[in-house]
Amino acid sequence: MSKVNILWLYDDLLDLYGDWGNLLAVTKGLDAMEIEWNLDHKSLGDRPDFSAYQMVYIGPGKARNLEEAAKDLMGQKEAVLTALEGDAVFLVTGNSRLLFGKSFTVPSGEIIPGIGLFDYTGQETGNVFISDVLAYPVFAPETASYGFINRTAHIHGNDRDPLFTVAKGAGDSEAEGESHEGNLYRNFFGTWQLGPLLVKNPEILKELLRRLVGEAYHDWNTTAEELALKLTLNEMQ
Amino acid sequence: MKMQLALLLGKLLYLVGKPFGKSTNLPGELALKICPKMMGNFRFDGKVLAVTGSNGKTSTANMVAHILKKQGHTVAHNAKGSNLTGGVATTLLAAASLGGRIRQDFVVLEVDERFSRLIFRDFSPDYLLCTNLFRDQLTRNGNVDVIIEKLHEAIKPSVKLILNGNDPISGDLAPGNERVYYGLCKTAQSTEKCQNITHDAKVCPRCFGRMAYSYYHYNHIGGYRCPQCGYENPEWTYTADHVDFATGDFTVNGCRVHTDYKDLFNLLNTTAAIAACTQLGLPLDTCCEAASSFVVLKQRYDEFKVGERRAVMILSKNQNPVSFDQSITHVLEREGEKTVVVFINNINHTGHRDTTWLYDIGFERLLGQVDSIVGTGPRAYDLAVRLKLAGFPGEQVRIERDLSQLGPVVDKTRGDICILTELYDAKSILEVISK
Repeated sequence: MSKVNILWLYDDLLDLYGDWGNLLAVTKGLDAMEIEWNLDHKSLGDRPDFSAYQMVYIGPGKARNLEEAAKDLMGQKEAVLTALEGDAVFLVTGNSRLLFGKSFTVPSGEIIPGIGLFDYTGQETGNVFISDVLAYPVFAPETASYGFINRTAHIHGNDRDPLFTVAKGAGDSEAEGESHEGNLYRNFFGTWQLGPLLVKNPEILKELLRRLVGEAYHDWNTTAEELALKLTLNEMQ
Repeated sequence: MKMQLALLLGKLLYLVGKPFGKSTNLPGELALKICPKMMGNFRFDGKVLAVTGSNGKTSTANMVAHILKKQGHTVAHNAKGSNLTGGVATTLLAAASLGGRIRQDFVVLEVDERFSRLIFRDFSPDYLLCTNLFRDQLTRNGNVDVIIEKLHEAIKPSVKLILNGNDPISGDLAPGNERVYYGLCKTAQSTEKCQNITHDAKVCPRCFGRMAYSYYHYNHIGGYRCPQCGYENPEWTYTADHVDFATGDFTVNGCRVHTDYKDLFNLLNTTAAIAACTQLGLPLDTCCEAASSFVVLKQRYDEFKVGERRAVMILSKNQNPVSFDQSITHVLEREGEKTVVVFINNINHTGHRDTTWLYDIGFERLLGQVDSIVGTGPRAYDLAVRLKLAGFPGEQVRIERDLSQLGPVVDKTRGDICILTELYDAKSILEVISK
């Protein structure tokens, strides 16, 4: 693997919380494996060449900003879907998941179309909902993970390709014991969980990086991350 | 009748509770239960100024009250930062006569931005000063847009706004209202690039175009222009300039002001207080003179000794990255060797274990600037991971999750001890370190 090209899409528009730490974790992981990387920032009106990127990250944003991003992304729907089907790694966290469903409703009642990778629909409520989440990723059903949900929107009808089986806390629904959360389709990782997810859960980071760099992957020391996770999980179990 | 009863019982509770420090919120809460419309029934002889914003509202409101009092005026003011509905109601009922008349020359109310619409449901200030708007405790408040909506519900058309001309977000509040701006010109400490991770105005709040900055004071506060729609710093009525960081002198509209607390955010807050007092009718020169004798609350920035070592407690707000970034600025301004002690807790009030907010804070600014960083508290190991990713060598990061065992760990470090923590946790840390 010569160089990994990473795209942070809507970096200026969707940057609400410290979720960018996910990118920090990815780039530090690449550094540890001595793999070169390049990070580009693109936003409204830019028309990035998605075929040039091995990874795309989109983070959570304010409701009004998400509406703008949705309109912009619709103009690039085919390119995004082609990249996805071509096994580019996508990490989509928080309310930016709404961009990838059928549509979402904003407080004015307007329905904003998504690019339709999934069948779910979304609704922006304006009410803050938070939950600690103890879950198991589908690719490592024995490995407990921690995430934190902080959202004002909901997703309905997400009934295929889950990323997590939830043991404690909320999933896509707010009901305790909701069994699933997020999506893993090909190399698309979508989740409500912050943390940041990849910092907090080294096993999820490693799975994402295995998919990103293929045979160039090798393990590195994540003792500190594992200890921080263990102490969090101990309090929850 | 209800109003009189509310005032009478509220005042009684206020007097009884005062010696026990229990009179900041409860009397107002009780009085509002008796007379829910009480706030609308007060009659003010003087002008009412409300002070709100994400950061600096307590200092700024205290400074306004200080300037007014220095000029011999009587002031009703919620000085202890009791800025929710109960605290404001208590301040007003304590100041009022039994007939509900408030005779003070001025009423200065620090108001929590989230509660502003409830506090001002039945009455309205003459002036509203908003210091700034940032992301702040997202688990509780929601984002800046949510706060703006709440403020818009609170701000009635008659209110004159005093706004920060360096802040593209709060500077655009309630566009239909009369307003004056204050601002701070580019200083020797302003930077071309944003030094912080948290930047809430990367895009224009009006048109979502990528914002261009000619300078940053801190975070998204600075000199801005949107290349797409032309939205830019407004013209300022009150201009702070000529900052001499060696002496702590600067000017507001050419008039000299002095401060010992030379951070850019404090210079802006001082300018805000001077602007507000001038709007209230005081002459500029006397406002500047009075502002120069203001001393920042010791509680928020407290120097002391631990054995032979100097130590400073810098109160920071978890989940408020701008406040935390400012604490880091304080640390960097100190000369000589230093060690930073940080207490990282779960989310206050809810106990959630989220540490996402650590990634909004620019810990990277401390790289190469400190002897070591000591992390303690329930989420101390999450801080260790944050610092590892920031690039700190392992030997510079010392973790002791158990606060009671912190003393010996700090003893192994060198230099001045800078403690960054929330108000809630400050006392327990002091007890351990200063033993």
